Amino acid sequence: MAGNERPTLGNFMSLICFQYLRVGTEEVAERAPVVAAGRQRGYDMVTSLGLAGSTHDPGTIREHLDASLGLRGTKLCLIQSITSKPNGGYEVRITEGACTAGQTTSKPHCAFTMGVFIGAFQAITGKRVNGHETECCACGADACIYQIDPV
Amino acid sequence: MATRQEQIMGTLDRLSTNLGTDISGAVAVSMDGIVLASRMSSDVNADRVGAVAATMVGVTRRVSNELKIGFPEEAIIKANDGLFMVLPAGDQSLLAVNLRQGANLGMVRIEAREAATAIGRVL
Repeated sequence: MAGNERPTLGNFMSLICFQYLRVGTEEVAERAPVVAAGRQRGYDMVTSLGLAGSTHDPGTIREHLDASLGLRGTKLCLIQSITSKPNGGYEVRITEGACTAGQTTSKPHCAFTMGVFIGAFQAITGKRVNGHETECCACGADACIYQIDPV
Repeated sequence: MATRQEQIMGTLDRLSTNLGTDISGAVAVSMDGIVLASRMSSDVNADRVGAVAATMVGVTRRVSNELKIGFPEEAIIKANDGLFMVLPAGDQSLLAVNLRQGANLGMVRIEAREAATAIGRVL
């Protein structure tokens, strides 16, 4: 995405515009294109950092992803924890996610954010993974929780 | 006992065998567009096809809902050198089938629906 830099406005824009893009896309085509965009972002991010296939350790993965996506990164979300599961998958807890900001829904809402984690885990572990959201801040939970499991 | 992925692969293989030269590839995909099992040829990006197939299902569901014509059973793209069919496989997944030009659509529909039902049961 090089070129056409914004010398005055910089790299960040309002969540309002992000929400219109995401919610509008889902209203026309449901979640798949939003998840796909997130997956691509997560995969490319890990690859561009030279971390593809580098680790399965949840602590190390959290450290890398937090540096890129958290307060000192692109501010997609705050990663509270990443824990490994017996099936070779991971549970991810995040707060202040971009997908849920200002949103109230009856079902999990993190299509883009969860997609980023699916793509990132696929790249960093080298394993094909699926994901689903078991709790969501937009539904009133304290944190959004993603189950990232091997396909 | 076979894993879920092995069972889905078995279903895709049976579909390919039963449809012979009409079919050039098939893939089982989650509703979020994540490939669960693929028998697409190596020159096809299965991940991208999976995302597009799930988007097709999403769009057809939105259209069907908007027009109040019920739940979509299949979506077909007919191009000048082949066809692409997508159909739900249970509540959480779908089956996408890549077909050669001139494929027997009646036979394809029967076999693809059976395969989609089998995949839906596994998942």
